[in-house]
Amino acid sequence: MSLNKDFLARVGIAVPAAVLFLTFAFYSELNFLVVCGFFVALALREYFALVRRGGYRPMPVLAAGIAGVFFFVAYTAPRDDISSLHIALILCVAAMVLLKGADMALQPGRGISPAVFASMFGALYIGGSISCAININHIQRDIFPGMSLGQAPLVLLPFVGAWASDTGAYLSGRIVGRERLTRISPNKTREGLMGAVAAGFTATVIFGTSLGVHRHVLLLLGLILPFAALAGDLFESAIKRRFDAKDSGAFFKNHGGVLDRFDSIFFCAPITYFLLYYFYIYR
Amino acid sequence: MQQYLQDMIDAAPASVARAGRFAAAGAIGVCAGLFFMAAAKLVLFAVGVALTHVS
Repeated sequence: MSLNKDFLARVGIAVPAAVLFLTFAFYSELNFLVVCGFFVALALREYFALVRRGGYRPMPVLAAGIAGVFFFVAYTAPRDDISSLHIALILCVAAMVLLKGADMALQPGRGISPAVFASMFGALYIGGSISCAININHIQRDIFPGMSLGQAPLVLLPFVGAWASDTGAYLSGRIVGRERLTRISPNKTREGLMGAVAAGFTATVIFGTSLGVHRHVLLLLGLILPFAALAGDLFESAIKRRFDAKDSGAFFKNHGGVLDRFDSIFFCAPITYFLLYYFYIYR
Repeated sequence: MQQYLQDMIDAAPASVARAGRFAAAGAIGVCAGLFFMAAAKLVLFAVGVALTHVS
């Protein structure tokens, strides 16, 4: 497909879908939680399909349970004390490290621990990241008192940063890309990275300014989000490569699965949440 | 436009072409960021109108 047709197809799908999706999601905080839950279920389903290709037998109930705990903590925690989410995330990482350690020490590649590890990793990678988006929504009432999600959609900040970076990388890579960036994803170029940084920085700073976010936070986010988006993209590529898959699924037909389209969000949402939290709430 | 850029880059010395490619990538990125911003604001406007009618 030529650059113009491909690009127009992307925009033609993205804009109407975004309007429908956001109208429903921004109607209430509960709607947003339901949308996030549905999204995590789809993403986990694709992740498990990938993991099964590698011969593992993941535990969907365990992963869904852990993701549910993240969501519950994110949705019910008092806005001035969201440390419980941090504790839950840290506990999950600690449990995974312990399991991996036990696995390596006792039975490398055998037993129940690889399946548990793969399930916990999926819950943390997908459920933990998206629970940070719920938390951005949660702390927004402290950052912009009296404004609803529809009036000041702070939660869109990581999405705008990540997708602008992806768009910038795609366009500049296709037009002037020459030097390969990494072996993990052969289509990525250094020129594309330059375009991603320029696009991500521009979009994050202007969008955040229009919302009224402090410029120090925006400068940091503008510099970090493009690299986080790239890291998220490469990370998902590495997972796909590990399990010999081209796309994670076919939810968007020719444009791949949910994991393919939202891979950069899994890194950008936590970074945005923690920056906003520590700048506005913690100090 | 793409061909014109490619021809111009191909005709230049290697180091200049490299700098040119990165400058062009940066410019394309800024334009993409602005375009994306405009699209996001348009979507948000449509969402705002829809939410006003729904609630």
